[in-house]
Amino acid sequence: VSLNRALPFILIGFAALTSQARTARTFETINSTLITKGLAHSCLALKILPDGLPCNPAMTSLRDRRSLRAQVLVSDGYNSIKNLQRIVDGEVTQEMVDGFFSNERTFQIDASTDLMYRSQEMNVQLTPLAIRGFAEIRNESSPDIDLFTVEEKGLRFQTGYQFSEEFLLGFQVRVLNRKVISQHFNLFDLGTEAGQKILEPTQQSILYLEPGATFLLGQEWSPRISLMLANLGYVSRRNPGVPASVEPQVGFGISPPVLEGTLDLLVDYSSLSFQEQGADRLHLGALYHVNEFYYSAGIDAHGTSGGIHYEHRHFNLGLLFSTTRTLKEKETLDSHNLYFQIGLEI
Amino acid sequence: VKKYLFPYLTGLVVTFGVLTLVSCNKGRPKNTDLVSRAYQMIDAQQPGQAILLLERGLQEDPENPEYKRVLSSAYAHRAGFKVQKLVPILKSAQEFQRLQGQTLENSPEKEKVKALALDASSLVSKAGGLSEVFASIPAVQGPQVSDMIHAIEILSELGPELQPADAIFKVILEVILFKHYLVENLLGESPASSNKELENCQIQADLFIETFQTLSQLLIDIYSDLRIAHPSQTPQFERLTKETKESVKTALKTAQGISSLDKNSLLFLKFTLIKTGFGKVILCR
Repeated sequence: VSLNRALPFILIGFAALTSQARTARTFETINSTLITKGLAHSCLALKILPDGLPCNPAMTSLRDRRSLRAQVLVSDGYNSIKNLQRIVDGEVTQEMVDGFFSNERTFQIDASTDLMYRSQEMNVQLTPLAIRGFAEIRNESSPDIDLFTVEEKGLRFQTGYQFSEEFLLGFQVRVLNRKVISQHFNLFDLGTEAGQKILEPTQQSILYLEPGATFLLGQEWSPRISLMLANLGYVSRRNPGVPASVEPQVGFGISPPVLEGTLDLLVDYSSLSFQEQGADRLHLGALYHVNEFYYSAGIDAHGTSGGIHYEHRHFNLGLLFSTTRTLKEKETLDSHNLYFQIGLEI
Repeated sequence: VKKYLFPYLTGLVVTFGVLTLVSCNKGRPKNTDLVSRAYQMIDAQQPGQAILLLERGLQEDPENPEYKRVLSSAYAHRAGFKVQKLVPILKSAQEFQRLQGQTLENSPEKEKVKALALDASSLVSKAGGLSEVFASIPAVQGPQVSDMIHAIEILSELGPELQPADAIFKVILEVILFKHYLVENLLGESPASSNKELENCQIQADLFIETFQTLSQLLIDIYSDLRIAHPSQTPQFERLTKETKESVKTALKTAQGISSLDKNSLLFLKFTLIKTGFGKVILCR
């Protein structure tokens, strides 16, 4: 039992120790909360996600109370992306450019605002604005740049029903509007005729209808299998730089008893970037809840993450550390990121 | 039940372990991709290492255009070129554009001054702006020059594989080299301290012709590369190429006729060269 109790802390420490591993907790098509990122997105079999809508809509009916929540998530790196945009716009200073080439050469941003209504019958999430971006610059003589930026607005609706003690079913509807830039280019491309359109965003209108189911396999340790068919629906304009195909996802979770609080151990098999192959789609996470604190830890082929989330009455606050690394083949650059989330709930 | 669930937990812990190992393994630099390794070396200020690596790669795969591109950038980096050094040019070019739009033409002073003054003001403004742009072009010296030439040659070897971005990169390197030849061989103050001394000085016609030809060829190459980057402006660049070639012919004829000039004409020419800043063409013993 003492091992169970120590496990989340070991995992968080482990996340920090292995911070050189490749990771990404920010993906082009995924708008996720702090705890979800902390779990390496292994949340399909999580019964109640404290800071968001359940990853699988089938879990909707497991919620025991209604609430209205507003929260903001932001990662570090905001200044870097802002500076990158200024350079692209021609507002250049020597310090700014020197800074780009003297730091880590990878820049990442993840920022979102969400409004949520959650209940036993249905969940609704309104995302007025979410911005995600990643840039990597290599070779300061003739810079080679990988860049993606996504600006997203969306509405997510979930409902679900528990048909028996063992079986839950649900579905979610996602309506999204995205502006996407996803390019790999040389900086000098911007000075060419053909390169004038490199930074023009693709606009996407998206409607997804995603069913999910969960099988509860027993009482003790609460083993469960969770299934979902993701990205099923309509996309107005496909962008090869932001792949998102229909995907069956599966998750498994248990909640072993601990002396104090609750512990969830979770495994998901799902794609986040749609570039992973085979075992790279495995994501493992642990969520330990004690008193007003949630400790999350996650690991997958992208890397590691560890976070703390605090909920006190109407107020909540969270901090997450993760490593980010581009998924382009044979890359070796890492960057480390902090995510911060703050919210109010009534 | 515990017996039933124990395998689940064991499985989870084992999978955690396996994934951890996989993840740790992937975290270390793989160093398997030559281009990525070369990028790392360049960014670590070790372009010499990158050159060795890429030249070895080209021995195995001599036609690989990507290796050539990165090799060229490694030579350029060893010649002191980094993209950060373009910032002053961008800023002075922006300033130049701003000044262009702020001539006396649009000023309330326009009514008070004569057209000649307006023209002179405009010319001075342009010359000043161009001079700033010119001064902000990075300089190369010593062994850096041969590295810069080599970087350009490697890009030229790409032939039809030369992409528009490569062409822009090549133009930048050519402009740097253009400035070097101009400053090294032509631009400078007169070595003569008096008019009498100037009479005994010689115009180095051969140096002038040689440098002028080199510069003209560089200009023609620049126009040719700009055509690749901006194909819609091909007629304009073709016209400029033609004009440059004609200028070379005229300059050659003029230079060849220098030896037949009388003393006064020669002195006048020397004054003109000094006034226009080409003092290095004059050699005094």
